[in-house]
Amino acid sequence: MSMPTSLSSIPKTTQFTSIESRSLQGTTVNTGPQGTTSKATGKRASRSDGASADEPSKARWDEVSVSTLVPKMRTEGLRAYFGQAEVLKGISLPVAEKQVTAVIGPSGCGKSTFVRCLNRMHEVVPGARATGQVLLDAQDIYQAEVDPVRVRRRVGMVFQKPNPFPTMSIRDNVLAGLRLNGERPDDPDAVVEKMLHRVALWDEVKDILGRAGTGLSGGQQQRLCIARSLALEPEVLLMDEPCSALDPIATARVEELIHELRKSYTIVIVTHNMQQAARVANFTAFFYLGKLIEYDRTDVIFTRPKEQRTEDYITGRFG
Amino acid sequence: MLGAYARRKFTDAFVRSACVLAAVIALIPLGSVLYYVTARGIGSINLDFFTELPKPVGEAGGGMANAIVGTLKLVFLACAFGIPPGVLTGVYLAEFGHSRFGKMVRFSADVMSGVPSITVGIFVYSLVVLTTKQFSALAGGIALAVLMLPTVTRTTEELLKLVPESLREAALGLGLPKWRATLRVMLRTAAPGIATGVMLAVARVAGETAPLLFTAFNNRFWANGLNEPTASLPVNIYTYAVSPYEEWHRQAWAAALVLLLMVLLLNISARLLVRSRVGAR
Repeated sequence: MSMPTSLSSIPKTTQFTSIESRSLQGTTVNTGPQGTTSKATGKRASRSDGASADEPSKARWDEVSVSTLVPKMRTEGLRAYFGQAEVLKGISLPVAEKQVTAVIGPSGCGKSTFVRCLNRMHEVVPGARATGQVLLDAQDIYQAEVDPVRVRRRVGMVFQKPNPFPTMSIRDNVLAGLRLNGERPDDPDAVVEKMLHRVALWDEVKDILGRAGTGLSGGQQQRLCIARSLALEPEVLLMDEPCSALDPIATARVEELIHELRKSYTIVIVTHNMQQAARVANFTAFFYLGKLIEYDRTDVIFTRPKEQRTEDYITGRFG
Repeated sequence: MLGAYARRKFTDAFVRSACVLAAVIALIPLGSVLYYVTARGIGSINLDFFTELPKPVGEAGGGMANAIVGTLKLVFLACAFGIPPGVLTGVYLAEFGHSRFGKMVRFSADVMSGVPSITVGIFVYSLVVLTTKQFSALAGGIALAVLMLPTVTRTTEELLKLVPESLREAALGLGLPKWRATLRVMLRTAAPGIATGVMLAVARVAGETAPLLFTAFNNRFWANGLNEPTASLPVNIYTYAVSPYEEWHRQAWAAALVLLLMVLLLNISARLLVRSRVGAR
């Protein structure tokens, strides 16, 4: 099926190695996620003629592998530094489009730094810098002429601790990204309702939209922050341990939400919690001491990891 | 075991009462100033005091309307000249203050807040009064602004630093340029606290006398505009208090009471601002 289509889309996104190209042969997995794409990748979706649009991508899931995933983002030899200390030591990793990619590893392994490099938030810290390539679609976001502010609007971020703006109401928090950027949505109320629906918070807060966002519970605040990010219609959503400050029930809500969101967004989630990675992620990357030790489908990582260190970590022998 | 507990209880009671005693002692001067100024001043306060010009020596009655308006003028000018550069400097120190220059600015602000106010008066005298050849409200306002500057700067810096870094990250993560994040999120979040600090600074300079002596000078009549010698309550209090006339002494007390109430009002509104901010959380 539509082999030429798949191939034609490849140069646009990234350069596959020869091995990867070969593995394309026997599989149609690429069109799975591709066919079901919407706004964010509309161009590509229309070009693939919707060949597999009605086929559930799940049916093909077994055939997906790291080497055949359709990358939305891709890092090449990414190195990150805080002053003299090198915290990422050459990470090359494709992030699958409209999938959830989890980054796991012990504290200090560079997980957070990695995702912060994906939207150039890393360099916000004084003394921090990064080298190497981070491709968003085909564009290296670390090129000199790329405006980090534009990158961050396409690649949204949710932080470890819920951080709604304390001076704003729930409603204004949702609109904050638009408003503070000087945009005036035609129908702000519709945006607020749509975004709060999307994060399954609407029913809980629809009567108290005027109240301070900081008055909500931790889990509600975190979903509010996710809504705030989504209001900018990003293509990628980075989540830096989004549940580590939440109780188990709130965590479950956020995880359900991630399941929903991956239909429309590419998600990268950093987590300390291996069960969480197993529950929400399609792909899992294991980081250790600033290096990418292993990257594969989540079920592979958790059932038959190739690396001894991965196995040791997921079985709780260290970390 | 019991002995140790008894001893700890005794120590607790002892230290606690020492603290209460110290607090009471600290309150005594404040309380007596309030009481004394009120008792001596209240008798001379009437409507005339707020609406009339001073009468010539020897005549009874008259008021200080020009000095009250003069003080308001001076305070307004001080705010206009002092707050914007003070807040901006504070923002600079909080956002970019790690540089050598930033450290220099911070150090100068700290030194400046210790400069005697009379020195600031001389400085503005030579800078403004001598060049314009005119005592004026403008010169007085500038002198007060210079006095406010370090307080406003350091307050702004400290309060901006209190805003959680996570809010800046949230703002930057939403694709805001740094200046917008600083202005619309950081400064906005710190605004109530900064307003409080600024008001306290204003309250402080409202009572300053020394820098006004040879900048705004004094005036027995209405000052037109900002380019004439201008009366102010603190300078009037000084002039009237050192005069040999009984009537003037009474008026000085009244002026002191009015000034005290103005400063008190500013302080109270600052506190209310803090409370409304805490309430909003």
